[in-house]
Amino acid sequence: MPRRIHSQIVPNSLLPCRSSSSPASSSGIAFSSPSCGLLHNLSYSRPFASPLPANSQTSRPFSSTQTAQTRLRQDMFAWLSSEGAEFKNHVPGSTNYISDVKARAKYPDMVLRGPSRPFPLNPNFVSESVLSEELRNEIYERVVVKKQSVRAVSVEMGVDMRRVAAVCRLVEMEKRWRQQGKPLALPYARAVHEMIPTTPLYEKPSDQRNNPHESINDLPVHRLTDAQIFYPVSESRHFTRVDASRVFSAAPATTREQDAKQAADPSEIVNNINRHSSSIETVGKGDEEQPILQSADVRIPHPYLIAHERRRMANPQEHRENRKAYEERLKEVEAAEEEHKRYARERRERRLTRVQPEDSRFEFRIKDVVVSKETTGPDGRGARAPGRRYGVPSSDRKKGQVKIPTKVEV
Amino acid sequence: MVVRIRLSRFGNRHQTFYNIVVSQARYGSPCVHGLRLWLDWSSEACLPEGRQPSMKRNWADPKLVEVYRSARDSKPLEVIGTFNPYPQRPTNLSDEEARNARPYKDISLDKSRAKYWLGVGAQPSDTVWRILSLVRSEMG
Repeated sequence: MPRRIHSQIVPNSLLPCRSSSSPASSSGIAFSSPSCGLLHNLSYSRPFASPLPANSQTSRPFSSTQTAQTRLRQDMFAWLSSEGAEFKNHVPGSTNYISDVKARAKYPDMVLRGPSRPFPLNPNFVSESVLSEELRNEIYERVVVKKQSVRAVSVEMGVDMRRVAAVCRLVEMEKRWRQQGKPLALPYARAVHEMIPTTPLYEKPSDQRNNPHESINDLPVHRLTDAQIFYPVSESRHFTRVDASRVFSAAPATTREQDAKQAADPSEIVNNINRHSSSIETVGKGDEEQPILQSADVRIPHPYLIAHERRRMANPQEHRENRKAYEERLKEVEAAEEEHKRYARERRERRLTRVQPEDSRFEFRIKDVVVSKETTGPDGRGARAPGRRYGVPSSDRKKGQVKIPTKVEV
Repeated sequence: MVVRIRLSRFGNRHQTFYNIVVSQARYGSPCVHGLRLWLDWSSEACLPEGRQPSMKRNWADPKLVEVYRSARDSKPLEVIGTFNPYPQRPTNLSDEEARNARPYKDISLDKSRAKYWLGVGAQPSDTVWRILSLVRSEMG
């Protein structure tokens, strides 16, 4: 059917104007194949679109003015009918980007994979690959069915921990939708997956590790590191990342003994902090008190991978022992994390009284708070005291206030 | 003058949020507090500077006389807790638990301060009385 705008049939703007001077008309854009969806339809739009006599030389039905065919437009149709024609139908499993045209001309049977740049004039736009169906299902299988930790699966699959968690939630939702008989846009998903680069699931675990989906150990940007600080340091001093982080949070420099201890076993410090997060030093007083910024080695998502790499470089032959040590370290981190979570949950529960009255639809959760000189502060506006503040303007309508949720609770 | 434990409204429209506050009562009984205050104030001994003695009859309840205006949301003596009247949906539950879970209302309260103020004769409002009666067993 020809396109309709406001229930009027209009000529398709993609159709070339067939004037006798147009080279496009002489080349005769021959799309005779009936499977040729879009342009096949266009050929039908002609009789609808031209109620005027054929010698009027226009594709616009209610106008007698001649439409000028620009050179660019002619070129476009010339391209569409020649080398551009092959982009009309995609080859399943390979990208259908215009920038692939040279590669296609050279190796016509090659299946193009991996990140590529779909816009030739915008090299900064990189089409990143997405998880393939198999990889996605494998992640779900490992985390939910086999009960492996998100951390371990993230390292094995080369997928960010947040993405692993999201995959689990989404697959779970998909399963529930199937159960409820909701319609799924499967043909759409299949078509899109055929046309964009995807990360496959490899048979061998080592292949999976060597071809990660994304960088999993990126250092998150901390607000304290935004400042550009010029900090004079004597040449003789060994200035490390730990020192740099202390400078960022305005903490006093470490002593020589502490420096020596750090240099002796860098991974031990990381382990200690992960195990006892309450032992982190603080700076500031009262409401301003905050833990000092940790070095980049601690703040990355998988700090134990550094220790693993160090060990591998020191003992390149002992694959099995290295692997064992890595697994032990991973288990330790997971146990510490679990312990930390359990402790936080218990502490929260201790402060909470749950009351479920017989005659009420609701449960009441009564949290114990402390109103004292320490919490309310000298001016009575301390942030640790309960309740909304008096005499402090509410800035929730001010410009730049972020109101969208920053986390999802399921 | 009576000290009351009552709610004080905060939050926006359709997002009510209350502070549980300890503050001066807005109305007093004329025979006990009002009269005494009237006597005190008429001597102008205990009046704040520039303040006229005010004693209006509350026509909604003629037994009560307004002896001292303290606005509902003015700065109280103390904030001892909060009350969110909007029921919250519990999260992080399994399907089984979610079926039986009740929506909950969040209350925060400093029990020791509440106990102290009750001990010195503060009168809770009806709503605060109900809230306090939920934790009666723990407050002793």
